[in-house]
Parts: sequence; structure tokens; C-alpha cells
Amino acid sequence: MTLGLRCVEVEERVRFSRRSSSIDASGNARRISAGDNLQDVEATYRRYFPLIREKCRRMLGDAAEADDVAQETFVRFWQSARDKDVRAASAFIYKTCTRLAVDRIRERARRPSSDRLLDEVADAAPASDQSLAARRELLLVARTLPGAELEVALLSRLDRLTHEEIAEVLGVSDRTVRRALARLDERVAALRKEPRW
Amino acid sequence: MVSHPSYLQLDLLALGDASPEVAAHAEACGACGAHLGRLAVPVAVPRELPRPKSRKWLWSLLALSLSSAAAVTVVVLPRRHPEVTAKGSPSVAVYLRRGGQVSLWDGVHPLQAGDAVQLKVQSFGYSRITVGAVESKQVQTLYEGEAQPGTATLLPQAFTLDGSGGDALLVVFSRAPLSPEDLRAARESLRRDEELWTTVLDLTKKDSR
Repeated sequence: MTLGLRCVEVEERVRFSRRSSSIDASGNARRISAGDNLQDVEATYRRYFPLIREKCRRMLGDAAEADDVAQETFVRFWQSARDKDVRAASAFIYKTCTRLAVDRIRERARRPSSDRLLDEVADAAPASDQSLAARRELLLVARTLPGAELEVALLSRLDRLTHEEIAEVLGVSDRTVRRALARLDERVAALRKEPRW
Repeated sequence: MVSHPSYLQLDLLALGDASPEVAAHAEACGACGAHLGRLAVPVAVPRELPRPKSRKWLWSLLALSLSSAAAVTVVVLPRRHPEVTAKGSPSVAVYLRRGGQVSLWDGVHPLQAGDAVQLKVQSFGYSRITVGAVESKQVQTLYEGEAQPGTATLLPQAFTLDGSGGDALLVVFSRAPLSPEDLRAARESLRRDEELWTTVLDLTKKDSR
């Protein structure tokens, strides 16, 4: 049984799947708040946004989508946690943008498989082979992985957090983290099994 | 294998709050140093930021639903198939065989003429699976058989890419055998409901001719 090939169509669709950054063009955009001190906002943004953006790019790959999530994370951070100390602020940031990224990843996983594969092809963020492989594996299991476990998986596999760090960021027990990672390993191992054919 | 600190530790270092061990590692490690370098690049502050998504509408909807339910005495449940008990959606993994090597296709490396693909499927409650080759508006049935609920199943048939046109596989999970007409209709509608779950796999490819 044969299946043929055609090249051009897919390449064009890959180009269409890229999205441009839209922070200034967004119709829903708004100022943070009329009462906020602009200098405070700018100083906080310059301090925290680079690490938020880097984290989002590690998780999502697509630079434009990562920037969208990073901006939303910053707004939430500004509204809820800007006065926290550095460690608590970082934990808030990690928790918030991980949850927002999980929403995006699960949204991708619900789309038809062909679109998801094109997302992978369109991956434009710089990343090591190791993190690329981890992201692909997570995308493959995202469809069947509960959201809470996917959060643990992202923090472990892409952010290299220890069990203790994940427990602290997410506010769960070490045991919960270990069990979630054990289930993830089982799912990934099942996917990796080479078929006999 | 080098053991790097977590990105959280590196970020804390960039924010001025990290242990001397992390600082010493970052000083000597090119990869961690590169991450810190990216964090040090100045960012432009946008004039406007997006509004956080609110879930208040969800609570409003829930409240409305509860009040409606209290006012109505007859509850109508949707008709469901009794065998639909598994949670989740069907899934399809694509294995690639090239030059005698078999691997899980990552969707990135291009396929080429001569490659063979084989599918591993999980049906989640559907009892039949049909695979077709999509060529223009036509769908040619390549495989049709029973799906095994609850377990991932490797389909017995592999499909070889020959470079002669056609570029996608249609995979349909169903509760009854599908005629060629049903398959064409599934390709058109891409239905996903209790009777049918449809997906199209576009195979990224490189013409090796």
C-alpha cells in the first residue's frame, strides 16, 4: 500500500502557523492602571519580565505565544505579588506562567494532530536538543495528562526544578510531586517503546 | 553528565538572591552563563499590557445554571452509549521506519519517499478504526479493523511513502464499520462526537527525488 508525497503545501501552512507579536496591536490591550506609578511599573517590568519570557519560551517554543503568556503573567504578578520578596515573587511567577502555559499546551493538544505537528515544525525558540526533546515528549502526552501533572512535568523536565522546589512553587507535598513524575515516566516510556514490525 | 542548577536558582541569581554554589557554577558553565546573558538583555517596556483573562463569566453561568435547574423539575439527560466509560480522547502516534531503524516520528524531521509509517492508536471507547489516504478530495481506505478499548494498539499495516502525490492520512475512530462514502463525509466534516472521532495527519515531507 502506498501513500504519496507533496512538499509545497505543508511548507506554506507552516508559514501561516507563525503568529506575530501583538502587544501594541491588541484590541484588548489596556494600561495596567491609571493610578500606578509608571516608574515603578517600568522598573518591575525590566527586572522580572526577562525571566518570565525565558521561562515561557522554554515551555511553549513558539516565541509569539510565549510572549503573550509572559505579558499576561506579568500583569497578574503586578496585580498580586509585586510587593513580595524575591523568592516568593519568583515562586509566584513560576506557578502562574506554568498554569497559563498548561492551558495553551492543552489547547494545542485538543487541536487536530496535523496542526500540532505543524506547531512543532514552526518551533522558533532557541533551545537545547535536550529541552526540545522534552518539549516534544510533553506535547505527545499532554492530551492524556491531567493539568496538575502537566504542571509538575513542565517544572521538572524543562525548568529542572528539584522535587522540593516544585513542591514549594505549587504548594503541594513532595510525595505528590514524586507520584506525578512517576506517572509521567510511565506514559513516556510507553510512547518510546519501539514497535515490532 | 553536568548537573546544572534549576532555572529557578539561576533566575534568583540574576535577581541577586542565590547561594555561592550556584554563582560559582554559573561563572564556570557556558550554558548557564548564556541563560544569565539572555536575562541581562534590556527589554523595552510596552505602553500597554493585555487584560488578564477573567473567569467571572464562568461563575455567572454556573449560578444561572443552578438557578434554572432549581426551577425545573424534569431533568433531561443526553442519550449516551453505555459502553462510553473511558476518559480522554483517542490518540494516534506515528512511528517512522527509515533504513531499518524504527523511531517515534517527532513531527519535525521531514519524511521522504521510501519512508514507511505505522500507527499506534488508543481508541478510548470507540470500537472501530479506519485509516485512509487523502488525495485531493478522495479518500482511499488503507486499513479498517476493530479497535481495542483501553490499550494502545499498533496497527498491523505499515504505509510506504512513494513520492507520487497525496500527502495525508485520515484516521477515523467509530462505533460501526464505515463505507467509502462515510469516510469521505468524515474527511469533510472532521466530526468529533460520540459516534465518530476524526483526525488528519499531514506528513511533513522532503522530496528525495
